[in-house]
Amino acid sequence: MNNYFKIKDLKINFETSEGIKNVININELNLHKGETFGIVGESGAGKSVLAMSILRILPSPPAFIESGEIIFKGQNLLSLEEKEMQRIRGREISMIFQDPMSTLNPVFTVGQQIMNVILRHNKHFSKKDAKKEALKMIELVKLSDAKNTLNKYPNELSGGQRQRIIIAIALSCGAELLIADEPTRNLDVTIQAGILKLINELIKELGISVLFIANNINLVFIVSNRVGILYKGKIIEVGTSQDLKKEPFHPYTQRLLGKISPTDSNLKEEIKINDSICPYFDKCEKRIEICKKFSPILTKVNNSHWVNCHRVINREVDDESSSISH
Amino acid sequence: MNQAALAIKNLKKYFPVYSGFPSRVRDWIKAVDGVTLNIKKGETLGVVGESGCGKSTLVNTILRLEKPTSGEVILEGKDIFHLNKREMSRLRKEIQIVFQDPFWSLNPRWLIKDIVGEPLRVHFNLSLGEILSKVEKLLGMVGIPKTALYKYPHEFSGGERQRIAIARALALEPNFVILDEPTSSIDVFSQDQILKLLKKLKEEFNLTYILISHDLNVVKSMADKIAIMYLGKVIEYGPAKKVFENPAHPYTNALFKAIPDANTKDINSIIALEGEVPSAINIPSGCRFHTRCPVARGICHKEEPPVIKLSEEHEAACFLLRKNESGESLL
Amino acid sequence: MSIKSIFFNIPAKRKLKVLKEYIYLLKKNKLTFTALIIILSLVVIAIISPIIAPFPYHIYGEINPQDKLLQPSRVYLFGTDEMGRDLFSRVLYGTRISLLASLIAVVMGLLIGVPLGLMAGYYSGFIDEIIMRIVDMFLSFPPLLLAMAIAAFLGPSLQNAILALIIAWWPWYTRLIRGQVVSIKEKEFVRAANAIGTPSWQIMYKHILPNCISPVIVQASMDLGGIILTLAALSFLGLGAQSPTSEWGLMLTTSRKYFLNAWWYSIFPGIAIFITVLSFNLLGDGLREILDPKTKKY
Repeated sequence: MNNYFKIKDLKINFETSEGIKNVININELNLHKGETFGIVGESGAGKSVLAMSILRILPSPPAFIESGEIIFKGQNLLSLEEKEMQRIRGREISMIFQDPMSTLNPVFTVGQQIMNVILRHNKHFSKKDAKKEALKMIELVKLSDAKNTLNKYPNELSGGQRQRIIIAIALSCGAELLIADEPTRNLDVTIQAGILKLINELIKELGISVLFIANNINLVFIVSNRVGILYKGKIIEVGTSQDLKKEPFHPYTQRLLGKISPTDSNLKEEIKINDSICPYFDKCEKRIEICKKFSPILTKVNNSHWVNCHRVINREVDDESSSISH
Repeated sequence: MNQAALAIKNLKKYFPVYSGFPSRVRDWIKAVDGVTLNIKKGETLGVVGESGCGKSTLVNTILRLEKPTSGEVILEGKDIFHLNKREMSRLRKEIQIVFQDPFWSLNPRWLIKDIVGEPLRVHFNLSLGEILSKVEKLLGMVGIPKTALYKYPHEFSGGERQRIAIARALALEPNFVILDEPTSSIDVFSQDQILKLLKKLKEEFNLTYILISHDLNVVKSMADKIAIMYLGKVIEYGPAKKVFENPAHPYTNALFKAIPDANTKDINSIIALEGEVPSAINIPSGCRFHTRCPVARGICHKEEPPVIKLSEEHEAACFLLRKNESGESLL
Repeated sequence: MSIKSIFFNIPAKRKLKVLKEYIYLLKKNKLTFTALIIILSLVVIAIISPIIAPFPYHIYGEINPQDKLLQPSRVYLFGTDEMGRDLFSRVLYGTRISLLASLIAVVMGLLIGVPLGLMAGYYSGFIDEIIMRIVDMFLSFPPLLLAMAIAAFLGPSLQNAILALIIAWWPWYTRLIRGQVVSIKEKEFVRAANAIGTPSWQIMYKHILPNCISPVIVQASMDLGGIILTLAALSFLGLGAQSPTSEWGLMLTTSRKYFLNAWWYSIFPGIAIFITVLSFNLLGDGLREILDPKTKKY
């Protein structure tokens, strides 16, 4: 039984001018200690909403967490007081975002920004101590010439350097779970590779667990142990990187991997999506009759690989196939 | 005919940096620093490069939104910067552009019918009814129903907005269309559709495309030739297939290997380059890539590499590619 | 046939949808809604004031000395002034003067300020420098002082006061718009229009202006209130409307002499100014909320 990090029956709704919209509907998501769990989703799938809900920084209104639990080390984060959450943010769970320029305050040096975070969580530290820690962190993220970098302002650094500073800030207080929300989205490809390698090294060095969120499935594969595919707020397939790479089951996963060529789509039937049919029905090339009658639930493909699709039943599986109960 | 439909000859565009009071020029941003390209009619040229490589400035210059510091752009035999008014007006109709950002590339306060009809209103003297019916036809070509006419851009998805942008680009029946990252901001379903549409339109109207993209799958699927740009220069150029299979320039190699794809095994297979892209104000001496090149030699710091022809139409600017008669590298 | 149907059917449906959305937003913000109702009532009052005023001739200067400084009663709802004129009729008519004056001032201010701001932002360079330095000159004075100085220079009268207000107010709109224009100029759809060959003036007025008009609308609606207040101040100082005009500020200044004996003389014009200016402020505030979140789509 996983007690490290678990999301259970999480439902998040948004208040819009057109009524209430369900944005996240996740039955179960497990993250084991020390593992990197990747979440792949396109824009609008709910990635950022999910990430922000873990740290409870969702703007509410318009977002409302209707039900569910987010359990971290035995505690349900959603039931904690704000004060307790503040202790967890930065100290135990940290987050990095996709736009380093707007995450960093342009009027403070990066050194000051790292030190501010350190001092907030370590009230007994002196300024000198904080400065030493900050230097250590800058070196940890492999930025050269740490002493000078400390005194630079964000706009004097390049995009890749800024993102490293963000990572330094996130890890400066010993957080053991890092949520990375599209950390390389706005970076050039060659810089992106550097950041990914850095995150990989930090995972090995510090033993942190990572929830890595991105919209590029190949990117997620190379950094994650296990991967979940997010579509319209639901996890529709989850498994190890190997599972999903070798045998992507859900048609959406296959499409993300480029295994469905554009000419395959000849969808003629237009059906309105509601809760009682599969959320992917209107885009699915492999749909069958039952797909428009019931919404599928996560079903086992093998011990580590689960998928939200009716077609699993048609496969030849042995009697051990069971479904995750709610 | 083999004559280049669009020829770019040693194009340079430098932007001045002012400082002091009264303002005087202190430095130059060498956004485009000597680009020569020949594009044949009906070809798709893919332009690949990271931020700061100069592709946006190159595109702006081809569209006449910027005047070159030196060099020429010859469109169907005519230098586009030495045209009279009538020819200028005709030029606008020859070459059009589809932008990357499907949100801001359409005026959020305008109705679709006005957005797509604008080129027609500016250049032709048609009645409202005629414009409306032409707009309907254009939207039909890109698969947008005519109910869209009185809607606003925000009522459409990214993919649909991109298709509307394509309809607008085709309104003047251009021969050249510049596609600036046409699929990077849209979802995977729409990406497929857009690419399919672009291919179809290319065949139907015998269009010539200049495709800018950092998504190699898109470039692979659409481009005939590709040009890799770095810090204002084209450092490799050739038939798409050849360049993908055998990237000759170390930067091209690093660029391709930095992007994870279906065949990437693990994180150790991707290449991260040291350092950052230098500023275009302080272009490194010698080969501009030498500061980050994993295989740079002494000569790379000192001299600019010549363009080495590797095969028919495949060339790259790198000293390591120089070979003597027996095919051995001269370095 | 089909073209006609496109012109009449679809636009009507769309207009309805847009209208519904605005009404929904207005309903959500009760304060703004109330302010709007008040303003509409004021407009109606302004229009029909000579008709509903119980003593219409008192508005224009007919005097009635035997009824001077009477307390509010059933005949004289707001009491009378030192000339025996019915204050109620005069305050009602003052609505017309104030609203009309501020409307003219704001509209003229916009007509001067907005095009200059558009040009400054779009063309940049030398034109931008010249226009903005002139704007800076004007803006370095507090608007009331500037208006006072101009009105004093031109000579005291209602028309000159309005002129002074126009001159003092237009630079604010220029500055407001210019900032917006500079950022919108960089957006892709402007580049697209350039690539199409759209002439500059069309880009400025048809592309850029609709996208930056919201803050200006908000500012203008708040200014309608602010200008009424400033006009009243000018008249109060003797630089605006002159006797026997039924202008609120003028009434206030005349009432000072009789303040201790005739409280009604100061209070009612004061309340009128207060309600009007407050309503415009609330409207402007509410408009800002309505116009801005429209771009935030969840």
